[in-house]
Amino acid sequence: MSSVTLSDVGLTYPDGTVGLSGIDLAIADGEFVALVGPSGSGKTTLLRAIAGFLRPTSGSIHLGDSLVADASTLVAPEKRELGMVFQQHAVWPHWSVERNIAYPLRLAGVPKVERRARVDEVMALVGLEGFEKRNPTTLSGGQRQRVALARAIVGRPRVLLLDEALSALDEPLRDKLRLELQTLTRSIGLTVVHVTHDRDEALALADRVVVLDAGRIQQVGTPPELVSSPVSPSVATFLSDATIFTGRLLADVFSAAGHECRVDAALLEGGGSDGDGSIAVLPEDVTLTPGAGAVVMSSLYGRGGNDVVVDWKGIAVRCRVSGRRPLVGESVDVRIARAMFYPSRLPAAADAHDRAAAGRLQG
Amino acid sequence: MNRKHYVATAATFVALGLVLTGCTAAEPAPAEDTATTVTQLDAAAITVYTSEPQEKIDAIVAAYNEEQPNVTVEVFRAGTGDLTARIEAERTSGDVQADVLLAADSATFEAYASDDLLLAYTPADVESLNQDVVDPEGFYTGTRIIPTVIAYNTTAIDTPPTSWHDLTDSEYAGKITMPNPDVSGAAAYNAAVWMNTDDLGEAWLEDLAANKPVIADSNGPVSQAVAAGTQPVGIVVDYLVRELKAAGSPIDVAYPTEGVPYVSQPVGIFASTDAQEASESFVDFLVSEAGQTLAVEQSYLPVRSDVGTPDGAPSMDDITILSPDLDLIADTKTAAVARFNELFQ
Amino acid sequence: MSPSPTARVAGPVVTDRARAPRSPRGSTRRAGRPDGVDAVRIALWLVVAAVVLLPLGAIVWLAASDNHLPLLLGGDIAEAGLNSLVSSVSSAIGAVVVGTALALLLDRTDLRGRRVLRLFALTPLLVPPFVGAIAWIGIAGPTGSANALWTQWFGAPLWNIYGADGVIFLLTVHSYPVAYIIVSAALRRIPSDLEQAARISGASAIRAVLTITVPLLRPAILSAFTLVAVGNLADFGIPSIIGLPERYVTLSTLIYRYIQSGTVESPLEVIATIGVVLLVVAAAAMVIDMLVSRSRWELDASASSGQILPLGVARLPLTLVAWAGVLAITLLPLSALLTQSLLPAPGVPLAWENLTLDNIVRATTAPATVTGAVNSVVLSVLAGIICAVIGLAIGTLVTRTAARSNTALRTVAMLPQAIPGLVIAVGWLIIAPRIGLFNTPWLILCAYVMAFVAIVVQSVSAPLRSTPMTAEEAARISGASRLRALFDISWRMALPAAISGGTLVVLTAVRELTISVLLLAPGAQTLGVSIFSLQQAGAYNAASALSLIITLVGLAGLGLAARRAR
Repeated sequence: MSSVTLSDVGLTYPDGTVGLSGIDLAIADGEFVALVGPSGSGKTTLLRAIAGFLRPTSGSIHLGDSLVADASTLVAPEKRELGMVFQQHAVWPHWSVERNIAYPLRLAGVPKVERRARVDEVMALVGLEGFEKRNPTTLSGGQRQRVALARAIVGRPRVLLLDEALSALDEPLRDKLRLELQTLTRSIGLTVVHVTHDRDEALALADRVVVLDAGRIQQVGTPPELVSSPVSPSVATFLSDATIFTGRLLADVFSAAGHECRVDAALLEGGGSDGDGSIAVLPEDVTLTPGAGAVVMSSLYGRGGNDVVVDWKGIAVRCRVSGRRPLVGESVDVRIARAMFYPSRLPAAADAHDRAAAGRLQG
Repeated sequence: MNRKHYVATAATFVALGLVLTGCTAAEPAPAEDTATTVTQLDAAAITVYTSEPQEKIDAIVAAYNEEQPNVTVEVFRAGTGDLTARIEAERTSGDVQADVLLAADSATFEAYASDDLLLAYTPADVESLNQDVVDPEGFYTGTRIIPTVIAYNTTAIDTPPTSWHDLTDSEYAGKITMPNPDVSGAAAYNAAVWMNTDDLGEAWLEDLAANKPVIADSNGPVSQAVAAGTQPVGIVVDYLVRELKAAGSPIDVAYPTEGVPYVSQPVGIFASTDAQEASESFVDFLVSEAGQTLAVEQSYLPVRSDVGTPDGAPSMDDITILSPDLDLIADTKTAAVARFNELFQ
Repeated sequence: MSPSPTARVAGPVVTDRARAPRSPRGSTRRAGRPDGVDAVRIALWLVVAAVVLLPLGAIVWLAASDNHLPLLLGGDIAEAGLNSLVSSVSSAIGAVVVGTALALLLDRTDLRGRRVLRLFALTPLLVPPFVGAIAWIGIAGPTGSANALWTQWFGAPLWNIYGADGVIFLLTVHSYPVAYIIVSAALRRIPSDLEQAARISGASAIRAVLTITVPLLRPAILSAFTLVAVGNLADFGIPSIIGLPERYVTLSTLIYRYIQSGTVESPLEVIATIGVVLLVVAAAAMVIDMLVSRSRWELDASASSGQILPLGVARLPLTLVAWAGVLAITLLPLSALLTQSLLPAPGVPLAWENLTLDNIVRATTAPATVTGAVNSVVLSVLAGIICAVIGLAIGTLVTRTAARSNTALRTVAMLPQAIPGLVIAVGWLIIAPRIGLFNTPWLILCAYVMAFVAIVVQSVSAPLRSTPMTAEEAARISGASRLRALFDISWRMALPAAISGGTLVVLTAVRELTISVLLLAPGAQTLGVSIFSLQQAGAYNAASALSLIITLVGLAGLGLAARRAR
């Protein structure tokens, strides 16, 4: 049973800009799906199309087994039985906290007694007991977001849509709410579509992550799948800060074009035959040894390893090294333990993006 | 308000008006003494459009109703310009909704008469009236003599000016105020009379302009400015000055020796009336001895000689009235106002 | 089971409990089918067509019945048009500057006595402009009290109020309260942290206000500017009393010249032509307003309101300056009114033995005044309520929904602001017999609504422009239809602005003159007309007394409203 089914959904704006293109996605009942991608990738567009604020110009959207959008149908947002939390929470300033939360129930015609009970229930769920009569303007940012969350789930929506719902909050609070969000959605079995620009949040929370770029789905998978086997250099770069080298695989060795980087075919995942292509190297697959081939440009401490960027003959290589934290300016040699090879028969768009990504890293 | 015919076409009424005009003009008004033989009319209602102050028109209607208790008089009171706008708008969409118009000056009535809007009616006892205010064609009759005079503040001015020529004296430079002929119909009329009076004419206007008078909106603000001493000398209608004086203001009036231009606040009956008899009786009352006595009580100079003059006003014989040829005034008014505007720019 | 055969990406179903499939609640609707909001839009267009377009059409039809432009061009229309433009634009600039400064000082600082000062600052709203103008002549006329004193001390008058500068000054005085009310409503919505952020960045308090708060107020300032500029185009009392003595003619006084002097053939068509010229000017102003205000930003919907800014050492001097300034422009004419009310006639010296209550008695006991007061209060309160409802609906619709006709709707609602009352009244007089409203109070009510609905539309749009659209989207997701979201969220959020706009309408309508004077049924009265009648009858002091009473009652009402709102 799919909760949300998108079939070949496309959305082109009147000025010709492509917002979405060929989106096929089935979100299972009770599943937590995160939509990630660089800004302008279409993730918010997709969410708003599911919500009903945008009308796809092609394809169809089903919620459960009811058709909500296609060429001739557009079910209004209010008829879709959804819940949504906005980045700026959109808590209504003219109503008390309780009134805000009870609003969806009022609209659904839930009797007063039941309404009370359910509002109390969700307020306890999001940790807002005792705030019923408060004016929203007197709440902190985190509390307002809890109000927004309570309002979004009180009507038992088919799907909970989160539009950068945690992004406006500060880090410890975001972290706390992230944990709570997972507990909450799992305990009541909510289907969640979560748009975020925060990759770690997406990987941490989601059952599956959808990577979007230029209005297209680049890859869909569980967090481990995405991290270990990105389907394209752009996904690898976006999700894992992989370093990209373009070059050619010949006689069991990949040689970067115009660069001294060489990688044995044995170390390459995805195998493939000889020919032009590029490799993506994950930070954790890079080791640094004393030497003179590269210079450390930055070195940040991290709990799971130091996050180091070295300048290797003009290419910025991101590495995660454990143990001693290299000093900025130190000379090192770069060794690649593993890489993914992508023959350059990839779609032109992805290719172009690869170059752009490589350029960003170099700059 | 249902006595008005919203749907009747203007043409019908214009035709009817012409017929009625013919009738009344052919038959001379019955010569009877109105003071004694007023016959009470049956119930009727008339609407009067007027620029008379509210309290005064209320008193007039009350006095009229003592003679004609069965006639209901509805009053619409507004400034001359507003009345013009309302009448014009009513003409645009149908008929004038008034029966009687009591306002403004003869020029306005001449214009309406030439558009066939007015009914010819010669009021009872017309022989007793000042013939200058009676329209020979019978479309309107003046109800008061409202002369434009010199007003002065008795605190600020020791020796008051007594003639129009006195006002050109440099001692009054910057002290004079007068109404705007662009706004006040009476002021426009005055400008034309001054231009056409041999003794005054354009030369006098030029001299007056040299004293740089303040051109106020209309007669009201002029009298107020003189009473308050803002501008201690004013060219203004006389009754306002008398009333202020009676109320205690340090103001007095001088009737210039060269003569005073005046307007007569005419009354006329609209051809579209459906209460002709009642309207005629209202007109009769206005110029009757009773009506004119009330006018004198209300500080106006009367249009008949048997009711005296208001307290503080000279007798009618002592006032020189300028009664120029109205056709000449009508022909030259626009040019006179234009010249006035040039001079007082 | 997947309803779509083309779905190729299906993930693992990680559910820890089974959910029963739910049947769809909502019926599908064809895209673009009209819904409640479209119905509201159509209803509003019908209302606007009846209350605005119909009389405007009558005016345009009158103007088009003959070409009077050559006559006008030969006359003073070019000069009068320029004067109108200059006086309304510069007075609107003055009004928004004063209004914004007052809003900042009174609502955001610890200025001493700011609550009382706020009431004083609003008084010009309550004085009919033609009464205010006469009061000011007594102060700053060539021999007015201020000039007389100045001449006594320094040998030359201080300032002559007659002429262009006086017109602009008085238009500013009588319109800054509107700007203040609109800007102050917007100011309450600007979160204090924005200002605090600027302070942290090193800006002084003043600089933070000038570089952060004032730019954020821009939509409200623009709204106020357009409203005031367009409204001042139509003002008649001030230019006629202050401008004409110096031959400073504006389009609205030109209208009276043509109607009053009887120098033109068909005066109605001529003034309708001037009305159309004013409409064109106003439409141009609206277009400029729309172009300038196109860029907009959104503020946090429920941000906490601003903090009171301590003025520190500047507190005393600023308090003195603000009090002196406000009292000078409000108390001076009020005291002139008071003196006139207590003296029997103009020019009577101010002394104990001369004081009398006769004027006040005469003004309050005349039957015409009493019926006038009842009529005015009933008509203006009704107009206020109707304008608040229509203005709220139009204001929210055009700022919170997307439709091509929004611009047209807003413009149509705004246009009547620019036309003098006389022209509006003529438009209604022409159509009145055909709609059966002739000589009924409803005609005046219709004309009031037409003339003043723009006040509410502008008051409502200003705060809504900076509220994020997610407020309504959240309601949609919660299950509200477009109409319900508009009603529950947009209207409710804009309600305070609509109420203050409606109050403004009541205050403006209760002393309205030109429309009422032309549309009254014979025998009927309104307050503005009563004052004007007393004035015309030479009872200047009774007129002053009545104006003073209206002002004081209005002030008391405002004070009560302010206390209630707190």
